[in-house]
Amino acid sequence: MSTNDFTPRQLNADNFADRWQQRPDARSKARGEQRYPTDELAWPGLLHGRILRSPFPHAQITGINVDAARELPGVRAVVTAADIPGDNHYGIVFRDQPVFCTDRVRYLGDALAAVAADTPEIAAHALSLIEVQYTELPVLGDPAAALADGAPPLHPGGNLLDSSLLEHGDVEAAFKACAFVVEGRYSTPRQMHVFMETEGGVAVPDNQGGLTFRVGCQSGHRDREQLASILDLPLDKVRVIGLATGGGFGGKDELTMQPAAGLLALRTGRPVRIHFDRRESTIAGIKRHPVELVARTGCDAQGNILAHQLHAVLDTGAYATLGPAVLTNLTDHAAAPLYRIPNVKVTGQLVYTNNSVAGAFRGFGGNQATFAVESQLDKLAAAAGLHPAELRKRNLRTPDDPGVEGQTQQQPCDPRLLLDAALASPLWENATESDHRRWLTGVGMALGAQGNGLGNGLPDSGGARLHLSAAGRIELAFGFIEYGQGVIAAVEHLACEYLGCAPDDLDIRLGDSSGPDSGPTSASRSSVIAVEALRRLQPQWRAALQDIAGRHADDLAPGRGGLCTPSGDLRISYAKLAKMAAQRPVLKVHFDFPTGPDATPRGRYLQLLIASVARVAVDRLTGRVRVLQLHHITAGGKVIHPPSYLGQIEGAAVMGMGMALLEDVPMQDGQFLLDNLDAYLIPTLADAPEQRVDVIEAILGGESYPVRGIGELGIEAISPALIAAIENATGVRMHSLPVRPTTLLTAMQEQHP
Amino acid sequence: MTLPPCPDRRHTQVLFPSSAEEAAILASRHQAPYLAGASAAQLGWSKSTGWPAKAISLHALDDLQGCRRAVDHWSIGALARLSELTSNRALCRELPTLHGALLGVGAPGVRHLATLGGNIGFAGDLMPILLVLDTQVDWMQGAGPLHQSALSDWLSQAPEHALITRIRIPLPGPGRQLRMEKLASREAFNPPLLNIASSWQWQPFAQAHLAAGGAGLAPRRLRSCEQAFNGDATLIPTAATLLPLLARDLPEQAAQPLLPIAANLLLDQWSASRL
Ligand SMILES: Cc1cc2nc3c(=O)[nH]c(=O)nc-3n(C[C@H](O)[C@H](O)[C@H](O)COP(=O)(O)OP(=O)(O)OC[C@H]3O[C@@H](n4cnc5c(N)ncnc54)[C@H](O)[C@@H]3O)c2cc1C
Repeated sequence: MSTNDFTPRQLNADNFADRWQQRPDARSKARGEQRYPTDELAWPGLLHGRILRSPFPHAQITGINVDAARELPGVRAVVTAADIPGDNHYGIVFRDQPVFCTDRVRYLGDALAAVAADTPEIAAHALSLIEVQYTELPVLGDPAAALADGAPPLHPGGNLLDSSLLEHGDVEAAFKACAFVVEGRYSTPRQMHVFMETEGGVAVPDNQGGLTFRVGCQSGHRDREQLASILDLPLDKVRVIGLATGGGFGGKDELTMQPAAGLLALRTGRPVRIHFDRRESTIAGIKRHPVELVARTGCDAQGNILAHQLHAVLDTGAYATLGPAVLTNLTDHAAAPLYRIPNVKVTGQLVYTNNSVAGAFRGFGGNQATFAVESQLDKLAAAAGLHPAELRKRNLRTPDDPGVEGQTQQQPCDPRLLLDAALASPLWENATESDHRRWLTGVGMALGAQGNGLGNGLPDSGGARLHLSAAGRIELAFGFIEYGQGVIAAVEHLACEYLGCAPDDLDIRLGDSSGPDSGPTSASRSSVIAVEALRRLQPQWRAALQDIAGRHADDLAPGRGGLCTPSGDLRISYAKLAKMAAQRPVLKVHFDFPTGPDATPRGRYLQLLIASVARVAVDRLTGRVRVLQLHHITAGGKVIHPPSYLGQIEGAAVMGMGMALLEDVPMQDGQFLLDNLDAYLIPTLADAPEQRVDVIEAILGGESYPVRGIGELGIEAISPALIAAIENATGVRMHSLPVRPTTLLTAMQEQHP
Repeated sequence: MTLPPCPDRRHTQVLFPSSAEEAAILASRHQAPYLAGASAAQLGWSKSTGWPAKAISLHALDDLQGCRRAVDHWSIGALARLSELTSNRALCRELPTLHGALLGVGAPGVRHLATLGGNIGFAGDLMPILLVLDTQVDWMQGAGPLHQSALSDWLSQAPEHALITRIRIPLPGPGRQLRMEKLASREAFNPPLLNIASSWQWQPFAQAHLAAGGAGLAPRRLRSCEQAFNGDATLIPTAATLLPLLARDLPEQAAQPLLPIAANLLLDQWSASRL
């Protein structure tokens, strides 16, 4: 049997009940028994850490005195930059963010010192005793100010952190040949991840000069490297365990509390816990990049798109973190990757400001760009007198077309399938209701494309370890972190599919930097890595177990409980195999994330598609928008665990609704205009609409990559679908997110005074 | 251990008076706020306003409890929890609009803590509906006697550190129609953008009580708008006629986009009351 026959079974009516199984962590979470990183309170001698943060968005530091704080009874350590044994900088792409600032603060969240004390209250008190002298500097409150002539540079390379250019053809000439050209200016908000568990965890010294971090994070291995460099420890002295975490969404990709906790733990020789409260999380935490986009798109009289141009400016805040990678992904999506356009020019600027740091967030810049691109298509269709779906149909790429940079891609299916399914959605029935009613209804749709993996040739590899324990347990280890997305359910189901075992035979170990490095838990890559690893492990595992069983084992295969006959009867249990083994198998695999056949990989090779159809109601009296229904058609490979799949698509869609209708962290002159969830509103359960998800599971190109990660797919096309639905209901097209009731009502009244 | 000025709740000394009179005296003496459900107070104090040196807990004051139907009004103790009021069937039957407004405050967890007196102290979401019901409050200040004032007077100038003991809500007469709407950004657990309440009587002569409140908008009666309706049952209002009146009633919103929304909601409530 070839390993490819072991692809997950397709979900259908016959096996639905069998496959609709509880997540392995469902019970402990529902019963409140799941222990999260910030529940790590029982360590003997535990100290409580707090971080002192800048009260100014931009200032010179002229002095810092921690003597009074050190003398406060109950304080065990106070640390500043002077106490950092290694590199005082971190950052996934560029190490430009100081653990503790020395000469300058660049945003309100900048850290200056940290304290470990017997109680959180004493730690807080000690912070207030630290004296810092500042000289305020001019605040660069937005990218325009930061790029203006004479603006003070926030970093040695200036305020333009990165720029992008993606160009083919000649847009200027092509626009001249267009029969219809539309322009649009779009803006998207500074969205917060709003994980239920804010950043936190504990650093525990091992009394041999090493440290173990038990924290909420997204990449134990990468964090270990950064922490070893900051703490000047050999890698093997730092262990990072990413415990099951109360939400990540990209917001825990970068280091958060780990450097300060690690330093304090080394200083005191005691475990140190740091847990940001919501205010600290709001101020110091990463956000989604606010983006200003200006777009111009044109087509000929038949609706063939000839030219598309877009310029994007991203406010990345004070430090880089994953900003450059976000810019690359945004640029890729801004080039309208779903459509065949001969002349395209996309430019982007990633700008340092004195605002909140922006970085990784589900969608990773793609959804901001898709909002602008899909909105442009709607506007162009209106200008050309075509149905929006018709314009799309005329211009959709085929799966054989190369990507926007000429690269080879693996599309899951023909995008037309999704467009047709979206047009057949029942949501279009009675799309708009009578004008006499208070609530106007409307339906809109948008398409989105999403890639898996870090992309663009960035180092991207992953691995796993499979082991038979002395007790006969199958231990399967990955470096991924379970932060609610359900990777544990995916791994369990895949392991049972590929290794033939039962869930009860398995012990899944995740997120430990002392285990296999599977790469970061981001970029929707975990499921792809898990499948690839298990595919490679499957024949080795079978051979290893047969080896142990010795003669007459050729007909036996790994199954539920142990080696089984072809008809499924158990012959030798895993426990017995463990006892029989002279040497129990420990199998390891490590491989590169699939990047396709191109010599220089660009963009992302493994692609996914989504069409989202939205039905909204808009209050004629107040401009308030209610999302009534969402219907998604997804093409993202086979469904591994149906409840997790649905949870990801629906959850991401509600997060997208938040971005489109509610969420923003407004800032003025580097100051946060809100700092808590009393003013930053996210959709509640009562706002979550009825949703339907139709899955196109069949994958083109055989079964080489049958599974794709769908963690980000659901957010991709929500904003433009909602905006199209609002326009369908009211006749008004909005360009700025989130759509506030007052702004929408004003626009409606201007349209129909 | 010496503590810094006022960074957290440990700086607030909570005093526990045993009577309403003592509470009012303590509040005046220490210039201290009251703690009823503390759901609004803590939220405010944990922000930039800082924690007060002293606060007067009302918890032990039984006189401030209870919700009773008198002959012509409801008499509700300032300490009555909002959840106690939402589960009072008779109150719900007689004042269904108030019941709806109560259910719009926070979420169940907040309503278990929140009190009616605290909602007045916070100038919360219930003010517009209470205003159009011509609610009265009983209060005392320092060692002074018990007073009774219209809620609208109280809200426009609350006597400093005065204690509300009871809230009296007159029963609406026959034919009086009540409306209330909270405009917020989402479906539940919502800080308001705008609250609009109205009470309409068409027979024997037209009489409207109108009120508004909301984000950054001190709750108040809309007297100019009321005047336009009162005595003229034939008036058919439009947004154009209401907007200048609203601008007079809500001058700080004059050029703001909230004003047309207020006009729309008032028109909607007016037309519903005519059906
Ligand atoms: C998460 C959350 C959501 C909320 N949502 C809403 C909402 O949707 N709508 C809304 O209106 N409010 C909301 N609130 C605010 C608050 O919960 C309510 O307004 C509540 O009714 C306040 O009552 P309390 O008893 O908790 O007041 P407290 O917090 O105890 O007091 C509030 C103020 O009133 C004064 N006060 C209290 N009792 C008296 C009295 N007897 N006499 C004189 N002054 C007094 C206090 O001095 C203080 O200034 C919310 C609060 C939270 C934390």
